[in-house]
Amino acid sequence: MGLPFLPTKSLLGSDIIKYNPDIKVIDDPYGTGPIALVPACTPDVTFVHVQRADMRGNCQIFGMLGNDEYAARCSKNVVITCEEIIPTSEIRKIPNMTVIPEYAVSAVVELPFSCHPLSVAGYYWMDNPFRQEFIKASKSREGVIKWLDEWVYKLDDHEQYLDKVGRDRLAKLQEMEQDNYMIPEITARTREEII
Amino acid sequence: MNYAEKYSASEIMAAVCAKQIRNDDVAFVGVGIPLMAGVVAAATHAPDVILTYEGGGVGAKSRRMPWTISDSPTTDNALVAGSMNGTFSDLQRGYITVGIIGGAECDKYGNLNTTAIFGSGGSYDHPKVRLPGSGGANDIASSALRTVIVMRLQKGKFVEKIDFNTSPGHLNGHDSRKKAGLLGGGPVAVVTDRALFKFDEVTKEMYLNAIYPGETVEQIKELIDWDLKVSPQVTVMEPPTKEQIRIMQELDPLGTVLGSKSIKGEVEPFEDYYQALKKSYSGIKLIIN
Repeated sequence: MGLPFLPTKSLLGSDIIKYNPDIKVIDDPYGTGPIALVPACTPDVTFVHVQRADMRGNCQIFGMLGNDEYAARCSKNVVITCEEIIPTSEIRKIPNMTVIPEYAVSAVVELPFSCHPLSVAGYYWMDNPFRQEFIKASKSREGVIKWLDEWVYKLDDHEQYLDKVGRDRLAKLQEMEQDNYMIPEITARTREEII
Repeated sequence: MNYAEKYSASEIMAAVCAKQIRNDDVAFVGVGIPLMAGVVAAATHAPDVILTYEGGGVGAKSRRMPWTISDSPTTDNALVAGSMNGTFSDLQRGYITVGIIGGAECDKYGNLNTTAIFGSGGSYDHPKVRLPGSGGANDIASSALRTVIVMRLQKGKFVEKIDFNTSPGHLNGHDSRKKAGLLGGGPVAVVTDRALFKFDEVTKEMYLNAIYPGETVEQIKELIDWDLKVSPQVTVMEPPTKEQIRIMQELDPLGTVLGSKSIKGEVEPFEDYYQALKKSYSGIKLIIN
């Protein structure tokens, strides 16, 4: 957005204001009473995972958007990971799905299943038992370190991670998602066909 | 009514919460019991309710239980797959008629703490228990036209003074919400596993509205730290119906939400998860209109 802060009618009356000096409450100069100002978040780098992107960095998202469009735009550098790279001509068929344009993107990496254990709408559902394992491990510091060693540090790359999770398991998560929802096929129609 | 003979604390909580949702509501629901309540309401007395989620999903019709507010079922057959900023703007705009939120500590005006329990001698920087924080709860509590609070009724959770006001209820009562500049109407009910509480229209103080089967007013009063006011017409809540329980167990066959499995540190074997969930959604017929 390129703004230093945004005003909000949230936070008023709460202790969040009391303990967070970055949030200022002012009297709205336009006359609606107290209003809270929240400063902009300006990270050096943002990682966003999307369903599909082209080689130039135009990113299309299916399902809810969360904060992705703003998370990308507030950052100096943006790394996109995606389920699949598609031609720019496919992007142009349905530009409404483009949430992050190429000019906001530093790099694109095709990395299927890189949201695991979370879900990606139209591709795979959440691996809840995997999350439960992490929640269990996170009850102690030692548990988290052991978990990170096993699932992050001792693995060479993403492929090894996917092998360790199990390709059969990933296929089942994909099935559980796609039994319920997939990106509808997008076909460009001619005027003659519509009439 | 065809009442269930056996039900858990979570199930009656979800059933009572569901009844707080009206057919014409646009409901902002968090995961867990609030979501279960929303789904049960939509499948029974409130088929037109629009469920909205923090991640941007609006009006989904799903055969699956979302495990988080940004899980893919939040946009299954949805009306809108929008952004977090969009959903929260709609909330602030006043489109969300009811928000359902939980808390770890609640005071007599329905102010909620989900930030930190300081403990004796503790402080914000050195608390006894550090909690997850607001998430979207502060925004929901600030701007939803009305809010419903869902919490277990346990000694020490309903306190005279909360350590940290994360999500504003009626602040100090009367019109203090309005004076603080908050747009929404604040809490109208507190749904627990043993009783239902409501708020006085003038003083905005929480009072006992109904007790659940098998409870007494005295038992409930003992669990509240302040001198709880009791409605002269306190009633006994009807138990969940068989239909409500069937819907809950169908969507959550392993008791992941209703049995608080993740919180307890239990892990479901993946194959059980796959088989049970696949069977669950395959058996649900959606009416998409």
